This record gives sequence, C-alpha cells and structure tokens, in this order.
Amino acid sequence: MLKYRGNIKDQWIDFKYWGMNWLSILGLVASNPCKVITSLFKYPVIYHLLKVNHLAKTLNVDRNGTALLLSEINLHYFTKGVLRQLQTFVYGAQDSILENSMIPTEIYQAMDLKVICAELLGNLDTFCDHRSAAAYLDAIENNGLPSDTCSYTRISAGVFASGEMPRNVKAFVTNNLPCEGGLGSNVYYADNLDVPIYRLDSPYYFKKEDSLDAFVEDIRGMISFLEEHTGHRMNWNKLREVLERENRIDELELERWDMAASEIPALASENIWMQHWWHYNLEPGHPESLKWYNEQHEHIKKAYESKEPALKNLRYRTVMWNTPPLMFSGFWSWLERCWGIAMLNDMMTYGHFEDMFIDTNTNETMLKGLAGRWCSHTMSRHTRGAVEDFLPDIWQMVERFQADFFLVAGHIGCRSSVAMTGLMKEECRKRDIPICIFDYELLDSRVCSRQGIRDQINHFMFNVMKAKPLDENLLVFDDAAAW
Amino acid sequence: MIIMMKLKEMEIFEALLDKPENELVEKALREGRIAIGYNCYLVPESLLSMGNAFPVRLRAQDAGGTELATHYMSPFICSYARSILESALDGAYNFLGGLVFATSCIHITRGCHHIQELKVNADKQSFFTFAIDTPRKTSNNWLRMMTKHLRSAAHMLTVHYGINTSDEALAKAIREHNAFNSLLRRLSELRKADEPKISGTEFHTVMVASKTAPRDMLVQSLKQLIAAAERRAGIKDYRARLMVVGSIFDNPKFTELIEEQGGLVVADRYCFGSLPGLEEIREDGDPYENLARHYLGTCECPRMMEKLRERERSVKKWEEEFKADGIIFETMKFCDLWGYEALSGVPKLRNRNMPVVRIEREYALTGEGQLKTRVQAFIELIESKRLNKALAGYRGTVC
Repeated sequence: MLKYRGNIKDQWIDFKYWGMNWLSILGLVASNPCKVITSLFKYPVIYHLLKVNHLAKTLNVDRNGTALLLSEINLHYFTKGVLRQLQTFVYGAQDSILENSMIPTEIYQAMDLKVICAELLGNLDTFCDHRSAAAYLDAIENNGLPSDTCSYTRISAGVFASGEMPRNVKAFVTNNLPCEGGLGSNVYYADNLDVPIYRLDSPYYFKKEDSLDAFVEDIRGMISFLEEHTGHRMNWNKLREVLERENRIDELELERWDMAASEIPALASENIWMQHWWHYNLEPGHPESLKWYNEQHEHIKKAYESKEPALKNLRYRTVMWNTPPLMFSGFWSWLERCWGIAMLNDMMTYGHFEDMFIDTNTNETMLKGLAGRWCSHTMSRHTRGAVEDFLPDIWQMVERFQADFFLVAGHIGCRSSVAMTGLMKEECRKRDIPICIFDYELLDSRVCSRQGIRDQINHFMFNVMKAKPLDENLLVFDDAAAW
Repeated sequence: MIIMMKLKEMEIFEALLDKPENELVEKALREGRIAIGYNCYLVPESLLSMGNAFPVRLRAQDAGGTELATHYMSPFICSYARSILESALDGAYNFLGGLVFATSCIHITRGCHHIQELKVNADKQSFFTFAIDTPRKTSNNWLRMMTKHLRSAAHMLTVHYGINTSDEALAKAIREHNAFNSLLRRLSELRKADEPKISGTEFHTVMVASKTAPRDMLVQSLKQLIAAAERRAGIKDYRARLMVVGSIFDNPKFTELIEEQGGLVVADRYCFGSLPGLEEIREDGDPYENLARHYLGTCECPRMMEKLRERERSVKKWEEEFKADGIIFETMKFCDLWGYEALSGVPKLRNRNMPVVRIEREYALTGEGQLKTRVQAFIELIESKRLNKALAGYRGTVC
C-alpha cells in the first residue's frame, strides 16, 4: 500500500509512477501472456524484479519534493530498461548475445544486437529483495566455488548454474572485468556454453599508448567476431549517433555533479549512483538514456535554482568508495533519516568525464575514444586500477564535493579495494579526513547483516563525528526479514 | 613414509631456502652484482639476468606473521601477497636493487603497489620498481604490447645500473637460461621412472633454489646433483604417485609433508614448479619478442582467459607422462582465479576417474595435522580404488 506522504503533489507522484511501473510490466505480459508466464517458470530469477514498486517504497521513505520525483523517475526508467532486457528472455535468446558487464555496449547498439547481460538479474534481484540472493549464492558454492569470492560475479554464476540464464544464444562476449572474480566466472560460463566466444582483455596500465592501442585492436576483433557470428554489420554512423548522445550525457553528468557539490545539494544519494550505473554500463548513449537524463536534468536544475535541498535535514556531506550495499536497498534512506547524511558522489559514479568526450570525426577516433572510456570505467580504473589513479581520485572527490567525512563500503569480496585499506586510512589521517570503513558483503546479508552495517556507521558517527542521531529509533531495528 | 638415502649434494640447495638474502645472493652482491626481485612466472628470468644483474623470485617463508601487511591489505587478501609485503616492510628485501613485477593478479599487484607507496628501499638511490602489464590473451596485438613492456623493463636496468640490454645481451642471457633449464629437465626426467631417483621434496627444493639465487653459481652443484641422483637406487616404497596442481607453492616442506604420508610427488604443476617452466626459449629472431611469446604461450595460470582447455589438456598430458595416480589440487585462500579454476577443473578430473583432493591453504605451512590427515585419507582412497580395480575381474572367493 502507498503511504500518505503529507501532501497531494508528492502523493500523486508516488501513485503515478507506481501505476506506470505496473503498466510497463503489464505491457510486457500483455504482449504475449503465455510466453511471459512460461518464462517466469523457466527463469524464476525474473520473478523478484516484479518487486520494483516495493523498492521505490524502500528508497523513498519520508522523501518529498524533487528528491522523491528523481527517485521515481529513476526507477521507472530502470524498470523500462530491465524490461527491454527481459524481452530477450521471453521472446527467445537464440538471436541474442550473452555478455558480461563492462564491455563497450555501444557496439551492440551500433550493430543492432539484442543482448543479455549475465550479471544484471542476480544483482538487481538482490537490490529488490535481499533474500533472493541466498539460493543462487548457495547453488554455486555447492558446486565448489569458495564462498569468499565476490558475490557480484558469484551470484551470476549461481543463476547460470541453476539453469536460469539462457544458453541458446548466438555468441558469448566476455572480458577480464570487473575483477578476477569476473574473469574467473567468465571462464566458467565459457566452459559451459557451446557457442562462439570472444574475450576482450582490458589492459591494466591503459594510459600507456601501446596498451590502449592493443585494446583498440581487441575491440576491432570483437566487431569482426560479432559480424561473423551474428550476421549483423557494424553501422559506423549509428555508432557516431550513440557516441554523440553519450557525449551529451557526459555534459549533463558533469553539470549534475556541480549541482550536487553546491552548498545546498540539489541531488544526492542513490539518485546519483543508480542513473549513472545504468547509463554508463548497460545502455550508454541509448536514446532512452538521453531522454532520462534530460527529464531529470530539468527537475534538478529547478531544485538547484530554488535552493531546494536533496535532504530535509542535511547535517553531513559524504562521498563513498567501493560498491554500494545492494543487499541493503534502504541504505541511503537510512543514512538520510537517521543521521542527515547526504552521499554526494561515489566510486561507481566518479570519473574524469571532462577528459573523456569522444571525438566522433572518424571511425578511428571513435574506437580510440571508446577504448579509453571503457578502460577508465570505475571497476577498471578504480577498483582494480593502478594506485596512481586510485588514491588521487579519492582526494579529488572528497575535495570537489566538500565531504565532511569519507565513507568506505568495505565489500570483503572486493580484493582490489580492501587491499588498499591501510593506505587509505593513513592518507586520510595525514589529510585530516575522518574515514568510516564498514565491512560487509555486497549481496549476502548473512555475512554482515543490515544492522551490522548500521552498527558500524553508528559507532563512527557517535565516536568520531560526535554526532547526535536525527531519529534514535533508527539506530537499531530489526529488518532482517524485510525485503 | 618414503625412505631414501640423503644426498649430500642437496645441502647447498637446501641452505638457500631459509631467507631471501641467502649465501649465494650475499656472495653475488659482494662481487658487485645487482639482485632484481620479481614476483611471477610472467616476468622472464633471462630479462633480469643480463650483465651483472640476477633475478630473485620473491618468497617470504620466514615472514612469521603478517600483522603489518594485514593492516595495509586487510585479512581478505592472499597470504602470499601479505607475507611478501610483511617481509619487505621488515627489510628482508633491502638487498634488492630493483623490483620488476607483473600485474598478473590483483593480490601481488597490490602488494607491489604498497612496496612502491610505502617507499621500501627508497633510501637506495638506484632502487626502482617497474610493472609489466601482462595481457591475458596471446594474440599479436597483446604480444606486441608485452614485447614493448619487456623492453621498457630492460631499459630500467640500463638507466639505473648502466646494464647493456641490447638484443645481443638478451640473446646471451636466453642461451644461458636454456642451458640451465636443460640440466633441470634432466633432473626432472628422473621422476618419470617407475622407481624415481629423486623425490618430490628434493626436486621442489632445487626448483625453488634455482629461482632464489644466481643460476650461474648453481650450475656445477646441479651437475653434481644429477650425477649423484642417477647413481643411486630408485624409490620403491611409495604408496601412490601424486601430481600437485595449483597456485603459488614455494615451500618444499609441504611436499615433504605429503611424502611423509607415503605419496610420492612426481609432477609439479604450480607456480615455482617445472610444469611449465623448463621449456626452451627460442634463440633466433627478436629476443624480446621471443620472451613475450614464450611466457604468454607457456603460462598455465588461470588468469589466461583463453586457455582453460589447454590447461586441462596439459594436466592430462603430465598426469600420463609422470604416471600420476592422483592429484592434489591446492589453492590459496582468497585466490579467485584458482577458486573458479577448481570449480571447472575438479569435477572434470573426477568425471574421468582421476582421484583428486582439493586443499585450500594459507601460504605459510599451518594446520599440518589436518593436512596430514587429508593426504593420508587421499592416499588410502587411491589404494582402495587400485584394489577395487584389481578385484574387478576376480570372480572367486577371497578366502
């Protein structure tokens, strides 16, 4: 049930998007009810995505005004984006490509290919309902995978092992990202798929010209592979259109950051992360992406000009490093309501987009721009990236968003980031930046519960920031069984 | 337990394993030579053997604990990488003139990042660190990149120590490397006999020693060892021939523990092992390209994205060549690459009726009791399978 938000306008927004989300879902069902229902039985992993409206409720507890509107818009476009992927499940995967995340998806758009991203469903499921993760994580552990492996890739391998990922695809495109768990899981998929496979190797020191050149050639190899095995041709003009839209999104993104960095931030929390994550990973330069950005931008600008804050009770500004806790979708809402903390940027979002506009003049420049861009993606540049980028980016982010403290989501499965813990602490001490590292497991709330996360942050806020909570009832509460 | 006459020729090799700055390293340093540390199979030893340089592969069996390294890298990082960092912070690698590392896995890469950031050896004016960006594919574009990176690494030797790193200098280092490896291959061949003339522990000791001391100083000792081993009687009293497959494995005491239970380790397919590791490097043509081609081509680490089938074929080939009765699949805790490799590999081994035991372990030799029990049980399993096989065609009564 929709809870009354205290004013008619917000209530209408809540209701409108609740209805629109259901309509979008029903649109897919209505297109072929039999196939959709059969797919639900065949791929039960889809089922948890129906809980999207509950996710909206979790993200938006006590939110009003523009913050609420932005979140609702986000979730609606998110729903539509997921439905685009699900169509491939429903209407047969035989014409599609199975891919891993962090592959230049602009190429698929330019070649007019249908794609299934292996990591998408397991991770989104957990975001919608954290209890859904256990079955898939256990499935792959029972097959012999160590339980300490990063759950981002582990859950996808679990979905695959459970037979809930289409295997009758045309081809499989994989890579060495986002981490070694990703590389390992890709080898596992490849081993169990009887389709042509292309492996893209993202270099470590991509700022070296020869490394980047090798990667450009690798992308070229991927295009030839796709042309050979799908029958689709590369359309360079279409790629240009995609990249031009992407460049425009970069401009908007940088403007958004400026508005978030201002004295009265016009947007904060998952409203920054979610949109970025989708556009920069799954559908960069997609027409829907630009539409989504434009629509949001209008509202953010209005809020910025009228000095409407993203949080009613803004007490602290922070930026976060590492992946946000997907098993705790109410995380941002809790930070806001319990402590008045606004998260103004995060590692998944932050990048040097001012240097990443792609020159669309020739096919060569487009490929080189694409290569540089995907090498600079957060999991490539930050998480597993060179120390020369990792630490300076943190300090730039802290300074740019005037953070009062630095929050680190210490996902214990993320080797590359946890391996930098000591250096981060020492540098923060030198720079007099309070740092809060909370340990947790990205998708598995059995390793560290949501209350476990809250306890660690509460402890920091009381003892280091000497803060008083906005709502003491939110310090400790039982939500272990909640979605 | 395997009993065999101890060879006095082994003593020199055994003495080299106690600490990184061993007797031969000290001697070389006194002679004005430069020790260059490295951390992975993908850093070619010949590259670091030009002029008066010599390679020392990083080990840290004497690290004791990893308290400081755990502070920096968290407890969720492989204990090999943490032990290396701990040793570096303790000053165990102060003798190194440089460190060339490969970005092979994130654990050792981050460990080396810490060595850079915490300015280990920074008081030594010529000390340098260099990272080789090692690709995960072997296609020509990546081969070209690796070749360039190898040249850049060699250039560091020239800049910091004035070492001649011309093609001719490298070609000479490759020839010497090949000659030394041909001796190791002779020793390795002794393991293939039904009554092998060298134990797994001895061979493991020689392999590790040859990576932690100047090889040119070991040539005579190695020749003497081969001659002595060839002269002695072979080992008969083993219960099973084993192959060890897995990640970093640089402590022969592990092998000794396995052999104490009656399993003879005949094949070593792990980091610091000889499978792969003793293949001849091409001597004609561009030596830098030859190195890149050789190491990318022979590397059997699960980091190589396209080579799962090849790795499986190699295991099968070596298993047959060395007549292994069973496989110990050892992986380091927190190693994602080997974790996924085991996920794919172990069931396939079982499916073709190869006895296999999977052991997840720490870098340091800990939990010996548990390890002994598991190895004993595994050997019993192999024996019972052998017995069942022998009885399979028997139709009469047993007594």
